[in-house]
Amino acid sequence: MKRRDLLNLTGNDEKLLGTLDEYTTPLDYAKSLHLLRRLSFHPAPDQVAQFVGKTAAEAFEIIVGNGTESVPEPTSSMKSWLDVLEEDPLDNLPNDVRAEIEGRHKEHFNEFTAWWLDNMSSETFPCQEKLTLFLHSIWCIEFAYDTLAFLPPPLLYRNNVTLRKNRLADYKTVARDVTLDGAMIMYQSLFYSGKAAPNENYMRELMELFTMGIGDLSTGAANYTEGDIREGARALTGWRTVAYLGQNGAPSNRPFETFFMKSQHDTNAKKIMQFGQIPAITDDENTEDLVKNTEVYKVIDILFNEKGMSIARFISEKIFRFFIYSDPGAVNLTFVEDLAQYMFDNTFNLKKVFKKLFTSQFFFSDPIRGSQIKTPVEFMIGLEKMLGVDYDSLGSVGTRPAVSSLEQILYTPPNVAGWKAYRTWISTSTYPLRAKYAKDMITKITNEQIIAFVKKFPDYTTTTAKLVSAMVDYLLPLKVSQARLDKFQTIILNGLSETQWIGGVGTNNAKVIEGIRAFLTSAVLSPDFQLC
Amino acid sequence: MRRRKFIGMTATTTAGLVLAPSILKARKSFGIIPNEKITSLDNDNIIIIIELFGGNDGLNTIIPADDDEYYKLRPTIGMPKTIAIKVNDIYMNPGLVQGVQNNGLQRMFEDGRLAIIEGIGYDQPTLSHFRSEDIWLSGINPKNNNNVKLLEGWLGRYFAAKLPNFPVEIPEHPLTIAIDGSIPLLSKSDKGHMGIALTDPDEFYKLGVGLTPVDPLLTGTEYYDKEFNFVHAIARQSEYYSTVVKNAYDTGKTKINANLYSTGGLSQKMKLISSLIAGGLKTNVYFMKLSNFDSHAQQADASFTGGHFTLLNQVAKAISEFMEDAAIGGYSERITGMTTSEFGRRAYDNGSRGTDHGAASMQFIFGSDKFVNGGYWNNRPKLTDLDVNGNVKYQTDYRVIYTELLEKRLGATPSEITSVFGESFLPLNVLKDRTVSVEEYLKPNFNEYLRISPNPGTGNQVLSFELYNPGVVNITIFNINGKEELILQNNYLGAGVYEIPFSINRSGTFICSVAINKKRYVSKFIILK
Repeated sequence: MKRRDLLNLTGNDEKLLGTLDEYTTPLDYAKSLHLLRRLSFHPAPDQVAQFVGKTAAEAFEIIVGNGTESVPEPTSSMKSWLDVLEEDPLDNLPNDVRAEIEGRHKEHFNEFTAWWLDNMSSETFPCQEKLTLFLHSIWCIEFAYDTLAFLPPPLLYRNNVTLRKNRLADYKTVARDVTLDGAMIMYQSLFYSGKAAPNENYMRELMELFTMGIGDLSTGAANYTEGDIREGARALTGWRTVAYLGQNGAPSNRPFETFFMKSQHDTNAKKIMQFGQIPAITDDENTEDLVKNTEVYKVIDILFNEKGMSIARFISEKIFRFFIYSDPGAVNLTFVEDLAQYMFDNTFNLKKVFKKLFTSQFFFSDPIRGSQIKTPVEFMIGLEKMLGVDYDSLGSVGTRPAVSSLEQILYTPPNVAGWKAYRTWISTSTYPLRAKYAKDMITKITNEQIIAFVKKFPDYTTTTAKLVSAMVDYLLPLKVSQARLDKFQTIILNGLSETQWIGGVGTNNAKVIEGIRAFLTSAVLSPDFQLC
Repeated sequence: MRRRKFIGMTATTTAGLVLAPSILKARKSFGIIPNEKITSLDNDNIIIIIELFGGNDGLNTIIPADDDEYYKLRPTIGMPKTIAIKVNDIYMNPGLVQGVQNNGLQRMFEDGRLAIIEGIGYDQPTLSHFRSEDIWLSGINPKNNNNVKLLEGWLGRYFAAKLPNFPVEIPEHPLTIAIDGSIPLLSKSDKGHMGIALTDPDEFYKLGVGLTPVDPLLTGTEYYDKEFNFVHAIARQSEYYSTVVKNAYDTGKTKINANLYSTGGLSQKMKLISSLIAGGLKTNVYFMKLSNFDSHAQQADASFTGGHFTLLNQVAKAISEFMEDAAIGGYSERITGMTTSEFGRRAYDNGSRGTDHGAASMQFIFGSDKFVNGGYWNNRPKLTDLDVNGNVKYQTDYRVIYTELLEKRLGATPSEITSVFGESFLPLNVLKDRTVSVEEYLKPNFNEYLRISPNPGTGNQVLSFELYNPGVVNITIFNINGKEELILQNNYLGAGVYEIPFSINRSGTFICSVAINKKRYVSKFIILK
C-alpha cells in the first residue's frame, strides 16, 4: 500500500485523535514496531514477530514487565570501584593528587555510561532502559556539577539504580527517592544546606523542573511562591551523602549512602503553600528516620496534595514530548489533560499511565507514527540493534564516544533542565556525523553479518521486490512511495538479474553483498531514517 | 460540541494553518538566498571573535605599571616596569610584542589599528567559567538567577530574525563559521544553528559528500512530513555548505600569504579564515576559541615568561599575521576583530604565582585604522576600589561592544538590538561606520542636534530637538556604563520641534540617545543632586 492510500484511510483515526480509548485491534507488524521503537529502542529484526497479533495491552505487559526485574549486572571493572570512597579532590590536595583522583573519576564515569549504553543495545523483554532514560531526562544529574567538581561515579550508578527501580512506580515515590538520592543531594546543593543557610537550589528545581513547573499548564496560575521555596528549603536542611574518604561527620561503613546531620537541620515550623504545615520538632524528634517522614516526605506530600493536577499536567506534558512528539508547539493539550486526569485519579502510578498511553488509539494513530526525531542514543542503539553489532567491537569510534559527539552525553545534560531535544539534535555538525557512523558500521560489519541480516527477512527467498519492501518496513518508520521502493530495488540488485540475486544470497555472492551494503547505505541516508 | 470531534478538528486545522507557508515554500523548491539579499547584511563586513577561555588576566596583559597598588596586590607576579613594554602611555605584556610580526600589538596600537577597552564586564558577575562564558556568548545577563537557561547566542538570535524561512531557505554562504569541533552557543537559535563549525575543510567536505537526499521533499502536512522535510533541509545544507566551504578554501588557499603564519594553533586557524575570505566566502562572523587562560598557578616565571606570556604571544601572532595578510590581500578594511574572555582575574595574586577567578577585564578590538578608533578606552582599573571578592569593577557592559558590532557592522536597528539583548546599550564609538550615506533626521540648532537643559541639572530635564524627517524614534537615557536607564519614547513621530521633559533622581553622568532607523544622535549631560 502506498503512503497516499494510507493517508486516505486516516479519516476515522483523525477524529479519534486525543482520546485515551483503548486500541484493541491486534497489532500488525508496523504497529508492533512503532510500539517497540517508542517504548524501547529500535528492536532487532527477530524481536518484532512475537508481538504481531497480540493486543497493545498484551504487548505492553511483555515489554515493560512489572518493575521488579533486577538491575543489569555491573561490569567486573565497575564492581572494583562501586563501593570505594576517594578523597575529595577539591579539599586542598596537591595538584597532582587532585589530577589523579579526577582522572579516575572520569575513567569510571565513562565506564558507567558505556555500561548503560550496552544495557540498552542488549536489552530483551521485559526491558527497563527507555523508561529509566525518561526519568533521567527529567531528574537530571550532571557528572561535572557546579562547573568545578565531579560527582563520584559510584553515586551516579546508585542514582541510575534508583531511577530503574522507580520507572513504573508512583511518581510521588520517584520524588521521595530521588530527593534523598546521594547524587541529587550533591548536585542540587542539599549537601551544603544547613539551618544557618538553607540552600534553595533543590527546592526550587523540585517544583520548577521535576514536578509542577512555574505555572499551571492549563490555568497559567503560579504554582508556588518564593516563600514556598524558602520554607521548603528549611525542611530539607541537614541531609548529606557519604561521598568522600575522610569526610567530616560522615558515618563509617556507609559509603555513598545518604545520612542526616541533626545539628544542621532546622527544627522550627515551616509553612508551604496554603495548607502545608510542618510543625516544629523537639530535639528527640530530630532524627534521621523521623525527619525523613515528617519533613522530607511531608514536603513532597504537600506538593502532591496541594498541586496534584498541576503536577499531573506537567509530567503528562513531559511524557507527551518524550514518547509521542517533541515539538513543544504541537503538544496536544487536550490529550495531556486527559492523561493528567488519569494520572491524578490513579495515584500518579507510572505503570498505569504508560499503559494507558501505549495502548491508546491516539498513540497508534497515523499522525503520531514516524514523527519523532531520533535522539543520539536512539540513533546509535537503533543502528546496533538493526545490524546486530556492538559498535565498540568494530575497532572504530565506539558507541559512547559516538553518542557523545552527537551531543547527548548521559549524565551530562547541558544543565539541570535537561536536553533541549527535538530539532536541536540535528545540525550541519551532527547530521554528517550520524551519517558517518551509520556508513561506518555498514562498511565494517562482515559479509557474514550482512547476509545474516538479510536472512532475517523470509522474503530473501522469494523476490527482491518483496524483500526490499519488508526491509524498508523494518528500517524506516512509515511506508514509502513505490518510486522510492523501486530505487532501493535497483540499488540492491546491483546489476544482477532477479534470479542471479536470489540465488546469490545462498552462495554469499560478492555482488549481492555489495548490493545489500549499498541498499543499507542509501536507507540510512534517507531523511526518514532519522525519524521513528 | 463533543470533545472527540473538537479535537479531531483542531488537530487537522491547526496543522494546516500553521504549516501551510513553509510547506508551500518547500514544495516549490529549496531556497538559497544570496547573503547580500538578506536584510541588513548587504555589506562585506567580517567580524572575527577570538574567545580567550579560562579567564584572561587583564591586569597582566595591559599592566597598570604606574599604579603602586598593583605591585602591592601582586608581590610575586606584578610585572616590573622594566619588563613591560611601554607603548604611548600604556604598558603591554611583552608576549604581545616580542617575536611577533612587525612588533605585534605594539605596532597596531601605535598605528591606531588596535583599541583596548578597559573595564569590560557586567553586573553581579558570576565566577563560574561556564556560566560566565554562556553569559558572554548569549548576550544575556541573568544576574545570578541560575534558573535562566542560556540556550541561544546573541548572533544566533539576530541572524534567526533575518531568516524567516530557515531552514527550508538558507543563506548561500553560512552566516557564521566556528573554527571548532562543535557549534558554539554564540550562533545557536531556536530555529537551529545560524552557521556551521569546522576545523578542516577537507574533512568537512568528506563528511558532507553524498548527504543530499535523493528523495524529494514531502508535500503532506503531518508531523512526519514536517520532520522529514526538516531533516532533508539539514542534510542538504550539510553537503551544500561542505562544498561551498571547500570551493572557497581551494580557491583561497593559493591566494593568501601562507608563509606569514606561524605554526601555533590560533595562527593556523586564522590562516584558514584568511583562505576562506580570499576564496570569496561571504560569511559575516568567524569564531575561534583559545583555552588555558585559567591561570591559578605559575602563570609567570621569575623572568615573566611562562604560561600567560605564551598564550598572549599566540594571540598577538595570530592577530598580527592575519592583519598583515589581510592588508596584502586588500580586505583589511572589512575586518573587525574582537577578543572576549568570560572574566578577568583576581586583583591580588594567590601565592602560587597565579590568580583566581576575577570579574571585569579588558578586551582588544582590532581592524583597519580607517574604521576602528584605536587607543585606550575607559579609565585605568581602580585597584583601590575592588568588589567584595577582590575583583575589578566593570566600567562598560560587554554588550555595549556587541551593540556597536550589530549596529555598525551588521546593519541592525536599535529596536532589533534591543530584541537581541532584551535591553538596550549605547555604543562607545570604538568603531566607525563603514557606510556614510545614512540619512539625517534631525536638524542641528547652533551645531547641536540634541539639547538637554539645564546641563548640569538637578534631575528635572528637558530634551529638545527638531525632527525634519519623520520615523520611528527611540529615545533612551543611558548611564555611564552604557546601560539603559530610562526609555523616553519608542514610537513614530512626525516632523516638528519636540520638547520632552524627563526626570532622573540620582547624580551622575548620563547620555541621551535619539535613534531613528540606523542613525543615532547622542548627547551627554550631568545630574548633581
